[in-house]
Amino acid sequence: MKIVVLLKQVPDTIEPRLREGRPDLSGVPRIVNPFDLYAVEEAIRIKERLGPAVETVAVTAGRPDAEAALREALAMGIDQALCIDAGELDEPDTDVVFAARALGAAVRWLDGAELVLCGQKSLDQQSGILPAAIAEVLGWGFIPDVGKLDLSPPNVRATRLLPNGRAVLETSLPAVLAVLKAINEPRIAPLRGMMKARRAQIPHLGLSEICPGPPRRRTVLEFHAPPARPAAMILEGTAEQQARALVAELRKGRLL
Amino acid sequence: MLDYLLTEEQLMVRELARRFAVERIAPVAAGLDDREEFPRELLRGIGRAGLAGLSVPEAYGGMGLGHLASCLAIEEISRGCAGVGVSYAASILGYAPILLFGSEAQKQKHLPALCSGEEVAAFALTEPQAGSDASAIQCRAGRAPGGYVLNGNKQWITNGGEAAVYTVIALTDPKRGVRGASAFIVPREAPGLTYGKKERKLGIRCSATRELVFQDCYVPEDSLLGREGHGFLIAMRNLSLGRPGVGAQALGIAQSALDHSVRYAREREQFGQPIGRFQAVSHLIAEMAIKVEAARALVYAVARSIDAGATDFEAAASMAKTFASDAAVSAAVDAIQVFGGYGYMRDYPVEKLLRDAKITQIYEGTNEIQRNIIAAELQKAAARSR
Repeated sequence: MKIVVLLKQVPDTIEPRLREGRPDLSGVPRIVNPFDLYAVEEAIRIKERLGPAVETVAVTAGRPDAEAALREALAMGIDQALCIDAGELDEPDTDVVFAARALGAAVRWLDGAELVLCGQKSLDQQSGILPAAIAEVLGWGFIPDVGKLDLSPPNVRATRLLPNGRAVLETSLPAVLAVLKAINEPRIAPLRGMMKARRAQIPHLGLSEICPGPPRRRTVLEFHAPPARPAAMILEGTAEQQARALVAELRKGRLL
Repeated sequence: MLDYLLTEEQLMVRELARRFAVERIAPVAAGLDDREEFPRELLRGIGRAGLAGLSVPEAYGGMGLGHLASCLAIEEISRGCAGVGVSYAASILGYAPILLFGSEAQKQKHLPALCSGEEVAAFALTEPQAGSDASAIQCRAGRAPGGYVLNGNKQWITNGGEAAVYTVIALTDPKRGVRGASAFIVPREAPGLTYGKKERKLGIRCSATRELVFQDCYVPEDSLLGREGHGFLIAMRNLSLGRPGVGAQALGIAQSALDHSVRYAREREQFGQPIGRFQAVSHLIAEMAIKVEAARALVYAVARSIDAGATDFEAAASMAKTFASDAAVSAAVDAIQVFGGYGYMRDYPVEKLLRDAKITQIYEGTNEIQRNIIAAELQKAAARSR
C-alpha cells in the first residue's frame, strides 16, 4: 500500500518584516512546515507496524530548492520523494485551491496511493484549507484534526481532537488525513538516514507536466503587521509593595 | 573555526549529536542531576540516532567512522549534560577492548547490542587500593573447569550496575605482577557478580558509579580477551586511546560554560548596560574562549592523527586530556563568576558545570599521571634520537 506525505517548505518565521506593504522574506531560512513532520513520522510508524508492503512517498511542490524538505523526510525514513517544480505556489499570493489541484494531480500521478497524510496547516498561510481541498480534488474521504490514527485496510479510523472533546471517525480508503502535533513525536533523523538522504537522487516534475493550464492566482491587496505590543512593566518587591505599585499605575491610567 | 578540517560525515555526526543534545538532553539535564537518575532512555535514543557505535566497523553494527567522529559526538552530548556524556563515553571505553583484542566470535556476540544503544558496557580496572597505581590490582582470576573464577572488588566503575558487559582486568598469575594480568568479558548475568551501592558524587550525578563485587564469579573460557598475561597491555592501550574522548567530554563542558557566559553577558544589565560591555567580564569570557579553542584544536588533532594511523600519539593524547580538563574547570569557575550570585544558585545551569568538570581532571588517569606520561614520553623520544 502506498502512503503519500505532503510537505511544504515554509519561511522560518511567523512575523515577517513588511517592506512596501508586502512580506520581505529575503534572507529568512526555509524549514519543513513543523506540522508536516508529524505526518512524516506517522507514515514511518505505519510502515514499521505493517511491514515492507507499505511504501511511503514524500511530495512537495514549490521552488526547486524545496528538495531540502524532502531530504529531511528521507533521512527520517521515508522511502521515496518527489519534487514538483512550481515556484508560483510559493508566493504569499498562492491560491490554495490551485495548490490543491496541483498536489492532487501529483498524488494521482504517483498511482496507487491509498492514504495522504499532511499537517493540519502550514506555518505561513495557516488557512488549514489545503487538506480538505485536496480530498475534494481527489474525491477521497477526509478527516481533519487527527490526534490518533488506526489503519486497518480497507478502512482508516481516526480520533479527531476538538476544543471541547474528541470524535472517533472511520472512513474507507483512499482518504486524506490532516494530523495534529498530538499524534506523535517526530524522531530525530538517524545518521544512516542522513547519509542516505544526502546521496539520494530526487526526481523533479514540472507543474505543467501533471497539471496543465494556467495557474489560478489571487492577489492579496494588503498585509498588515499586528499592532506592536507595548513594553511590559514588571513590578518588584513584596506582594504588598507590588499591590501598591499596581494600584498607583491603574490610577495613573485612569482605570481606577 | 575548525570546521574546515572536518569531513562531510564528521560534520553530519556533529550536527546530529548537537541536535540530539539540544532537543533531548539539555531540557532534562537538571532533573537527571537532581534525581541522580541513570539516563537509560537517552542512551537508547542516542543509539537509535546511530551515534552509539561510531568507530565500530559496520560489520558489527557500527558506523565505521573513526575516533574524531566519536570525539565530536562525545563533545556535543557532554555539552548537553556531562553525566550523559560520560555514560556514553564509558560504554565505548568498555567495549573498545573487545573491538581491539576480541576474537571474531566475541565481536559478533557483544558489539551489535552495544552499537544499537540498547545496552551499555563498562571498563573495570580500578580497585580500592589500586587507582593511579593500577599495577597494584589484586582481583584474581583463578582457573576453573571450562573457564575462570573471579574474586575481588572493582571500585568506582562508571555504568556499574547498568552495563550488560564488563571488561574486567584481573590477575591470572599474581606472581608475575602486571605481566600476570588478563582481560575478561564478564556479562551482567555471571553468577557471583554483585554490586555495591550507587555512589553519591559531586557531579556527573546521573552517571551510575558502583563497586563490582566478584565472589567466586564464574566465566567460561571464551570470556578471555586476547591471551593470558595481556591484561595490562590491553588496559593501558584502551585508556590511551580513550584519552581524546575524555578531552572531548571536558571540551563539551567548557563549551557549555562559554555558551552560557556569552548569552548571560548580553542579557544581564547592571549600571544601565549589558555586563558584557564591561572589560572585566568580556576579558574573562575572551580568556575562556581562548582555552576552549586551544583545547579543541588539541583534542581534534590527536583524534585525527589516531585516525590517520599514527602510533606515537601517547604524549599528545595525555596533553589533550590534561589541557581540556583544566580548561573545563577553569571555564566553569569563570562562568559562575560571570553569572555572579545567580551562578551560585542551583536553579541556574552553571554551578552544575563546575561540579561536572572537576572529575575530568581525575578519572582515566589523573592529570598528575598524565604529566608523568608526557615527561616519560619526552625522555623516551630524546633517548631514541641519541
